[in-house]
Amino acid sequence: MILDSIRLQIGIVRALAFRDQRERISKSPFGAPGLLLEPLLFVVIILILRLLLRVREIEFMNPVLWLASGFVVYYLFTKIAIKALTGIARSQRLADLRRIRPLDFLIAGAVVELQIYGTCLFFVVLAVSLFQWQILVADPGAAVLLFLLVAVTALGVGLTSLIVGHRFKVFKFVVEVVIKQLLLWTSGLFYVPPMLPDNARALLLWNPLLHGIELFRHAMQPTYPIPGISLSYVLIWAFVSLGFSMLSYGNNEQLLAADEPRAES
Amino acid sequence: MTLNFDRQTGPRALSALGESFQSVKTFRLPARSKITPLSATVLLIAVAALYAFGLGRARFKVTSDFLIRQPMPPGTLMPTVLGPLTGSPSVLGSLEDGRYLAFYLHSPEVMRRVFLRLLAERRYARRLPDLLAGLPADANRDQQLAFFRRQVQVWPQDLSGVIQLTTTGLDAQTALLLNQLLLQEARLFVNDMNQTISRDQLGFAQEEVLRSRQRLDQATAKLDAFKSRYGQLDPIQESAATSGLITALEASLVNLQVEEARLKRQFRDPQAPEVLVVTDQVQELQKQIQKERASVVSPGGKALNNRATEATKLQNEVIFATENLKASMLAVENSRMESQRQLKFLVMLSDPQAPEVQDWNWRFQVFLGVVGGAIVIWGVASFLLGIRSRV
Repeated sequence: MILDSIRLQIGIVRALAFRDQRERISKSPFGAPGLLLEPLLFVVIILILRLLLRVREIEFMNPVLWLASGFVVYYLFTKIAIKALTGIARSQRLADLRRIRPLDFLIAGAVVELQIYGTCLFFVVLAVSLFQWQILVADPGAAVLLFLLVAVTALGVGLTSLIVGHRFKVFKFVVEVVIKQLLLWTSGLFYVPPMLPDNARALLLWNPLLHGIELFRHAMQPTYPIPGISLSYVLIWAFVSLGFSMLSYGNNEQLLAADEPRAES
Repeated sequence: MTLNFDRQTGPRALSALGESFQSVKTFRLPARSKITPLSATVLLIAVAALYAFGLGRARFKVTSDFLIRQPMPPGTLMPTVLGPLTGSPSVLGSLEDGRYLAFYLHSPEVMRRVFLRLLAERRYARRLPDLLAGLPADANRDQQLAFFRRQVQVWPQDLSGVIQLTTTGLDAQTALLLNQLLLQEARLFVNDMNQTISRDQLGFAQEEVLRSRQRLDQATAKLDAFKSRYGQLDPIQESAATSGLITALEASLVNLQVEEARLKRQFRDPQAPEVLVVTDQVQELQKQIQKERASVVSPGGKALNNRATEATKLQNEVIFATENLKASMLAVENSRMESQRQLKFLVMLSDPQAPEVQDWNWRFQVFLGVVGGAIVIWGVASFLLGIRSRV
């Protein structure tokens, strides 16, 4: 019975994810490749900027992988979190299907983001590995686990913000600003965190995404230095945010459903 | 349950989601096939779990940390604004040495020496039920080298310059012994590398000293032979003395000429005996001066000027050879001091210890690696297949 429920849940999420993916492809100006282009373009632009500005080389690991891992994981987090903050209203068309909960849309959206950014990173790693003729991911299991943990954290944070934001609009706004603006500069995308002065690093270490990104890089290259970075911190953020969001969601689902306009026809 | 879902939602719902479900089904294998992608994945993960947590033999890891340092005079370490350690020369030096060391410790020579002392064929022999771990009995040299490289990891830490040496063994003692043997090799490498450079530099400087000494001996011998040949202690001084003599004679000549002129005015007859005596003296003195001058410059005479020039040349050669010898001896001393200063040391930060418990990391790494690989394949494949079905 439970197994059937799980299978049904997986089926719903898969179907919604597929629907979401098709919707995105149809909206993307470049079709399916357009979904992968955005994070890749950022990596390419930053690489060109680095070349033009003659920035000192990142000696700790391959610079393309370093940049790609930072941007892709960052994009994964922000997209899932922002979608969790704003995603339900777009799905009103299926709101009268009682079996499909708002949470299903969020999970499906997260799955699609995972697929897009996972594929993107997979191709980058593949290309760099082929270019160097060397496998560049030392611990793929840990890398995938961290990728999933970042997604779970994003889902938890986004969902919590959505629910709390229904009661306090300011909170939602603040979280959105933090996710969209602050995280870009505090997640180690443009600098190597171990190279920062201790007092600046101590402040940045509050950011769980920084831990996720740095651990992800460390999983690819075990010699990448990660002073002060902790897997436990990422795990605590992932489980606490998800647990808190599920708790809030369980208590507020009716509220959320009532907030949504009824489906037409 | 899918039917329940359909009954609940009704035909209208199905029409909304039906297309999506149908699309998902398009990349499933046909129903007749007993092996579905899902079952194959589950099987793969189950096999990985069985191997990682059941059949796989225990691995033991031993880690040691060390630095390669050279004594630095105080005051040469300059802290940088960003990261006080990263820019320091000692860290960079250790890091650079560590990178060379990583290559060296993975070299076939090191493997040959270490495996010989370790009795690797026996210690790493494969045993049932785990036929993946260990060294095959009939492994050739390439396989042995590849296996050896998998057991030894040398990681120079970029930030601190610390070199981390991790060795893996199928029992605790093997891992420890391998680590200790490699540390010995690392010490040999660091000392040998420095000693070879210092030895070469010192040898070259010592050869230069010998060469300078020979040159000085030759120059001195030439000068002595020259002096012996002409029976002169110092041709330059002799030449100077002759010049002095000529000068003195010329002074006397001037005095006599003055006296002659005075007498000519005193006596009316220039043939007076008093005048003639002085005139004869003047003429004799002039002849003597001419003779002395000729003896200095003419080849038939003493040829003092030529001898003085040659003597100067020979003396210059001696002086140059002496200076050269001094410089060479200084270079030997400098080279010896430099070799002392640049001698590098392997500073142990943590000694290898025999592990009491097995390493569990590899088990999780294998299992999570397979799960992660399956997730990546599923994610990428379903994404790409989804795009294809859209096209």
